[in-house]
Amino acid sequence: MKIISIFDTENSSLFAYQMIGAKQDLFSKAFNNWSDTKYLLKFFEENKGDLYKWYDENELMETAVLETIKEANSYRSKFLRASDKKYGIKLDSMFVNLHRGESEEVELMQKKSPGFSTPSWLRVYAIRIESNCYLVTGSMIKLKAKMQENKDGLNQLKNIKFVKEFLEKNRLKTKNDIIKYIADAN
Amino acid sequence: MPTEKHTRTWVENAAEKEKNNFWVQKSQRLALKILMHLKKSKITQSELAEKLEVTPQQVNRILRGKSNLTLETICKIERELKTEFVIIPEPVSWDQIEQLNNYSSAASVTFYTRFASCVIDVEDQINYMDSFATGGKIISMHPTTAREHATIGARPNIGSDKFRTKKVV
Repeated sequence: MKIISIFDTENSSLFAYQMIGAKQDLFSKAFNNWSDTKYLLKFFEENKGDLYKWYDENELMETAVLETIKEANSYRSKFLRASDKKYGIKLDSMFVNLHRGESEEVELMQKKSPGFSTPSWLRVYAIRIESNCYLVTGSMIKLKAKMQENKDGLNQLKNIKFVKEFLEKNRLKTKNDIIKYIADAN
Repeated sequence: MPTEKHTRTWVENAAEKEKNNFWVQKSQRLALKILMHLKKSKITQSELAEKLEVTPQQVNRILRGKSNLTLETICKIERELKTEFVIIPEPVSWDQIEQLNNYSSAASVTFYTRFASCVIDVEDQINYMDSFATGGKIISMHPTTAREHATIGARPNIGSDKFRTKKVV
């Protein structure tokens, strides 16, 4: 398994999982897809049924694409600012628990970061390594209420579980462990 | 001495995208219009590549909204697809403006949503937006909008509360 450092500052550190054989890590892939008109149009066409729950039935497919791009731009800006210590943005403020009711004391906790519009269908999934240090395991455009309700959501749950098990198995439990793992891999 | 190829980081890419966003947004909107047109006309991307005499990869980049298109390329696409995606506004007479003002306020919502970009210049746009906000009259508008208006029903503005049905997922 490959782990990529997205940014690492005094305030916040973000890492991302890259699948074997993949050209890019799953965090970069998310923002690439969310700015790709062709990808988004295809996605919304394939999920037309779910889209009508968000929009009036007569609304245009292209509106969904443009709204997603706009949201993704704001979302990207927020992460970009979090990468710059002068803004003082802490990643802990951008992620919430994936599973309700879970204690904050849990090691390698599964987290999600929703986009910033209300409501937003953009999601980034990650594992909290330690305070303000996260490892991204995937992303999705979430049109259904529950992740278990579609293939994308199930894949995300599978991914986050897989990465967590990998981290546990290799005893990667702190930011320094992750940095050392990346250095050893290179 | 051989130099190692620098792989750009996410932060570098994101900063570049922020810098270029002012034109990338337009490229994305244009890409979407072309994609919708291709779908409607049942023209494949390979056919478009052939018509434009470019590689399918180049067309793919255009359709993904990642290409900084020249006016020449845009005009070639418009010519081959027999349509117009980019319209440069022409002057509007006061008679036409008066005609637009006769439409209902609901219709004005549609105008604002769909055609705000067609307003003649910045000053007029501000006037128009002000007048829209206060429920007043339209100050100026591209003549195309007047022609197209008759067939368009009123609908809420993009991003307005009415736009989404407020289902929190």
